[in-house]
Amino acid sequence: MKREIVFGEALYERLRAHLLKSAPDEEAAVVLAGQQQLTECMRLLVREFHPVPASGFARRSGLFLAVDPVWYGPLLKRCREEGWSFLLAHSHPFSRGAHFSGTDDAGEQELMPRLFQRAPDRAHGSIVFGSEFVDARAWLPTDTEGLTCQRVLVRGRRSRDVLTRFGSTSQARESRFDRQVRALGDNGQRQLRAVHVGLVGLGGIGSHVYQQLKYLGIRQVTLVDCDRIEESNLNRLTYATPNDLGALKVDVASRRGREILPDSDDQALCLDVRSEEALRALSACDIIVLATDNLVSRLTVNRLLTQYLVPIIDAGLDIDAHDGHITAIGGRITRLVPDGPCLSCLGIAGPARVAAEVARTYISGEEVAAPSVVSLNGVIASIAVNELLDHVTGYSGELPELPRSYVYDGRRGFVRAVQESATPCGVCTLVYAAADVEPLPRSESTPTR
Amino acid sequence: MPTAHAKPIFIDGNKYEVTEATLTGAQIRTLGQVPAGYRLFQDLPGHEDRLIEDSTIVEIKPGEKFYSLPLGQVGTLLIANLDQELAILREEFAGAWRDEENGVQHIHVPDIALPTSVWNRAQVELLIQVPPLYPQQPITGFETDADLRLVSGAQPAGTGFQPFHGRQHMHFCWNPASLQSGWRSLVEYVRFCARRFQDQPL
Repeated sequence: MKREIVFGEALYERLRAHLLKSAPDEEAAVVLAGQQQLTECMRLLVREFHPVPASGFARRSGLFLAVDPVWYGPLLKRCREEGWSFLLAHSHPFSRGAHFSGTDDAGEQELMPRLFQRAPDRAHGSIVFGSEFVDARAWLPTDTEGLTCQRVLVRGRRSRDVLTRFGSTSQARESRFDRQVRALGDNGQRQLRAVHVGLVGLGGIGSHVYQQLKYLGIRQVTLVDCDRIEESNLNRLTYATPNDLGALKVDVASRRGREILPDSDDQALCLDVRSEEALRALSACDIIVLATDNLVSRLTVNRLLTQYLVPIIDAGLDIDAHDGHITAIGGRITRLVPDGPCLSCLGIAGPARVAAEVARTYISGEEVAAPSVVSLNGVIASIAVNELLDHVTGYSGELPELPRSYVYDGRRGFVRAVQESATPCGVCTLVYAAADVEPLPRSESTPTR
Repeated sequence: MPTAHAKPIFIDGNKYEVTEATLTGAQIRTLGQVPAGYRLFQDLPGHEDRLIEDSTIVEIKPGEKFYSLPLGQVGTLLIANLDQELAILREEFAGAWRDEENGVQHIHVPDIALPTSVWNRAQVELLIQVPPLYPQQPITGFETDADLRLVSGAQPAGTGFQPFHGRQHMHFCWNPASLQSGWRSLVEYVRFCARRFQDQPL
């Protein structure tokens, strides 16, 4: 089973700054993490860290640290009582990459059995920081030695893998991506090939998004939509033809996806996005594109942002029209990162708006088909995919301040970058990186649109 | 053999029967075979656990739980093997390499920069003989080309000449006081030497 460690970027940078502050001398910290158990992978999501104070060392020299159990014992007790995993982090600031030393190995062999004795039934681990990269190991209760993690992910405005790697990662360039590689580089193309995207909603915007993901060369997409193709969808679903009427959207889309990118490894889930199975599948993704206009669904998926540290790109479009006359076209694309505000903090899918939607749709029975135009959907979808592309490859470079959202005015024909203010919703902090330690909200049995 | 007055207690998850009303920390350690250097605690659910020193007297109630924890030890005091150290060394000194002669390991660190205001050349290669009992036995010196001189033409202090690796070399006996306490790694030693060539001209 693969093992991975995931950090939110702000927390990672704070931990790194602490561990490297005394370079070339070493520093240490205790990290508490939530555990996420997937079918083929176990992830530890970093929730908090505690720098070891001077009084927390039983012994200390430039290259040797002995953390006193009198200091770390209470943190281990919290792990035991609250369900967290315990990781001992330290630095080897004298090298760019990080390698566990013989001292680390010996210390770990002594420490881990005691951690499992005190806080059983979960993983524990260790992390060592070099000046640029890190190495990490995770232990499961049945292990006799820790296994090296396959990825150590830092998820923020951009996501990156900071695990120390050796040897060449060069790969033959596929000619079909030649023009793209000229823009994004071989590394960018490799990152696109490796990223796992979740896509919620295969309607007007989602269909464009999915098609572009495939043309970009993204092999692994988890599609969630439980609707079938109706005749009224054929004006805007870019994967559908009249022959597909009545078929499931996820089936038709993923078939088209394989035609575009034959080595696709997509997962087509005909599920209510609020079901536990759908949320578990989405929690495994590296990033999610939310392309549903249902606020309840968006608020549910929003929980994965902080609880499972999965960045989200939220895309939506509203056309106000009466009797064939458009009065407003408003779109919004928002990039949400684990250490930043969520949809609820931003007021985009706050409880009041969600309650209003529920009342309108399910109590009064009002569910009017919204106007939708393929070309307008395409604008929103393209901006959303560009955001994803930048998240994965960093193609837009080091801008001083990247906007959180883009707002589209379809009547005037412009896109504006905005940086909205946010009010903490209170839930984000509570569930931050809690992963499987905290249950996901229970769903009601209402389908996505 | 448990008696009528025996009380069960648990140390590191193992059950023991004791008859004493009180035990010292040292007695609990002995009973539970707690390894030396581990800290002993009394588990107090709902409260902060209590550190039990050897001299602490504990009133024993049935079901009392104790546990021990080791120091969380990390560092580069001992590195698993020379190859791993060499990999770390190469992060800073890219050209470093290793060879072996008659079972003795030599580390070559080329292109150590020298200030030409002090030395008669701009770069030098360090040749370090890894002591046979390394890392228990520390590295205390290194060799360079025999014709390395100060810019004045003088031989640097603390050096001598000796045949090494098949030819005459200059031996530097640099035994840094700053690295005296505890062990010094190969990486740390090379870093020290490179810095000393720059910062402390002889």
